[in-house]
Amino acid sequence: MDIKAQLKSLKHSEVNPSNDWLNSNRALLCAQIKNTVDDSPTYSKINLNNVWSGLSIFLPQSVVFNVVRPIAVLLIVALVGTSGWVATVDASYEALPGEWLYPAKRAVEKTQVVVASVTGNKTSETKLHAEFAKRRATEVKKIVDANIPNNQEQVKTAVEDLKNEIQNVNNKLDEMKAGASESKVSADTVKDVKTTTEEVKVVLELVKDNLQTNTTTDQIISQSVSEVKDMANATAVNAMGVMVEKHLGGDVSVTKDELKKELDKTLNSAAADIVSNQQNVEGVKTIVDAVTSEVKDLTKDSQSINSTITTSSTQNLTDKMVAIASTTKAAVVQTDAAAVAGDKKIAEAKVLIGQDNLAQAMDKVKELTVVAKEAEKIKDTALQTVQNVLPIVNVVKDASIPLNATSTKVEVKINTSTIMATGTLPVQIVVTTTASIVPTIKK
Amino acid sequence: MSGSIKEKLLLYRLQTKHDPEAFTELYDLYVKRIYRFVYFKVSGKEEAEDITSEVFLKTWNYVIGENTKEIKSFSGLLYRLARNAIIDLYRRRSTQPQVIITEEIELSDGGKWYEDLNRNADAAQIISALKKLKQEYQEVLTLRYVDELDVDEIAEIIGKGGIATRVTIHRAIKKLKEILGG
Repeated sequence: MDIKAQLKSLKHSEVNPSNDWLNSNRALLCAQIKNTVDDSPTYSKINLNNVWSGLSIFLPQSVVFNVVRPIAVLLIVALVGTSGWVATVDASYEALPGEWLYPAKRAVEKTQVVVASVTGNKTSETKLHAEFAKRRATEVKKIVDANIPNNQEQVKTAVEDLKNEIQNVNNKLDEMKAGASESKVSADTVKDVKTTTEEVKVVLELVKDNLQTNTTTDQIISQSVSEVKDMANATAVNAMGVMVEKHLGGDVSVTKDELKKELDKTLNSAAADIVSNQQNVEGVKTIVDAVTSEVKDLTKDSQSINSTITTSSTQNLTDKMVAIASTTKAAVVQTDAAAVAGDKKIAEAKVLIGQDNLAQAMDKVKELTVVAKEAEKIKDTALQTVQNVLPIVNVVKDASIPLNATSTKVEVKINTSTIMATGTLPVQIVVTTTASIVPTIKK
Repeated sequence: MSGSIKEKLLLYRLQTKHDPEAFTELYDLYVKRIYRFVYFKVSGKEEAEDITSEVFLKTWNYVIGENTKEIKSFSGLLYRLARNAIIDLYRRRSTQPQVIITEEIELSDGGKWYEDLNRNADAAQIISALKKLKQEYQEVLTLRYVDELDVDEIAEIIGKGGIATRVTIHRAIKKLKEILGG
């Protein structure tokens, strides 16, 4: 017999496993592997990375990543931009700057704006810009919350984009103002825009609280976030103004009651801003005062021991702290003044609203916004000055001492051994208040 | 070709979802081939069975394990693990006293017993000749003629180029003829 045929015939001989063994082993294997798998389905959501690695089983990896993926991005852009296919928007919706789908997300947004402007649909164009501003704000928040090291570049780009988007919204509002009567956009749309920009403002406030301000780059970012926040706030007020004008021009898509409610909301949020600024500055002052008196004691101590080096360095610190204390005091006076002015404006505006004098009430709202902005600037400067000496102000910002606390006790402990080495004060601060919330700050 | 697409689909399910069912289907596809591959290198049925089930369990653990690199071919992975398992067995054997079990060839019933006896005798002869060949020749011959794989597939499994594989098969056949003739 031919040797190859002989070899082939082996297939049917005893070199094969017996069926009994095949079946029993199969059952055994099933039992063994099922033990190693979790019962909970961990892959319930489509994971895009799985899709790429899955595709690379069928196609070479280089083809998947260099050809298939870019084509997929293009397809998504084409599909969503022209038809607004919701499921795909959702896929790219979560993308953050730096991720592969992010360009698709942005491209889709641009296409949507172009489509809206070509068809002359001003309503959706304005709404789109407001919506995109909100997305950018959420992105900034997500990046900051994720706390990835060296994310400054990402935050910067996102903030920059957000700025542009808000500018776009503002431009649209200005256009409407210029041609208030003939513009086809209803006051209803403007109301939506206003709500969205207010949301942007709230998100940015959270971002500002969470931002680290240890390095100069961080401080620059924090500053630009505040700038954008002011812009968002101004835009919301601007939208309010457009709404009032439209209403006075005879647009009835928003009723007078609704308008009054919106005005009230704007007033209240401005008032809340002013109060929170006041509280922050007040809290900073309490702590600065405590630190100053502690440093003074320290100077006295070192003078009594007669050590010239320590005395001169602690004397320096005392001078510094005294200067800061006086700045903070001034800041407190200024924010208090702002609060008083703000209260007056709010009262006036409320009276005007009561008299149905919406145009003048709107003017008051605008003035109030200016006051609130000033108060915030004072607070930011005060925080910045103190931050240069005290590393704990970050914590103070988070848990500012409530004004309604019946008594506040601030203990300051200074670690004297490291004063000389660093320019900043190594302090531990324990704040005890008898208010309902008792924050304990340690650093 | 359709078989290879099916294999890839199963592999996809296995890799992304860690789907036990996909693995059992892959087991059904490959178990006989792996068993035969092992059979020629070990002394008996039991050992071949043990090693085969060990290979499949190791494959599963490899696939679901962390940091799994891209698996180009499931069969390639199986044969690689099978080869490793056999090397482990040889190592164990070198430290343990060997027990030789002589197997009886079972005769099937019915009137064809004489024919079967003949065939079994032929088979036993060729198997013993195969076992005398060196490892690489054994592998290519079983893969080429018993499992009836393409040269390209064999090349992937043994990790050689296509031409080199062809040459190896040719030499293996020549050597086997020598053993049977001599």
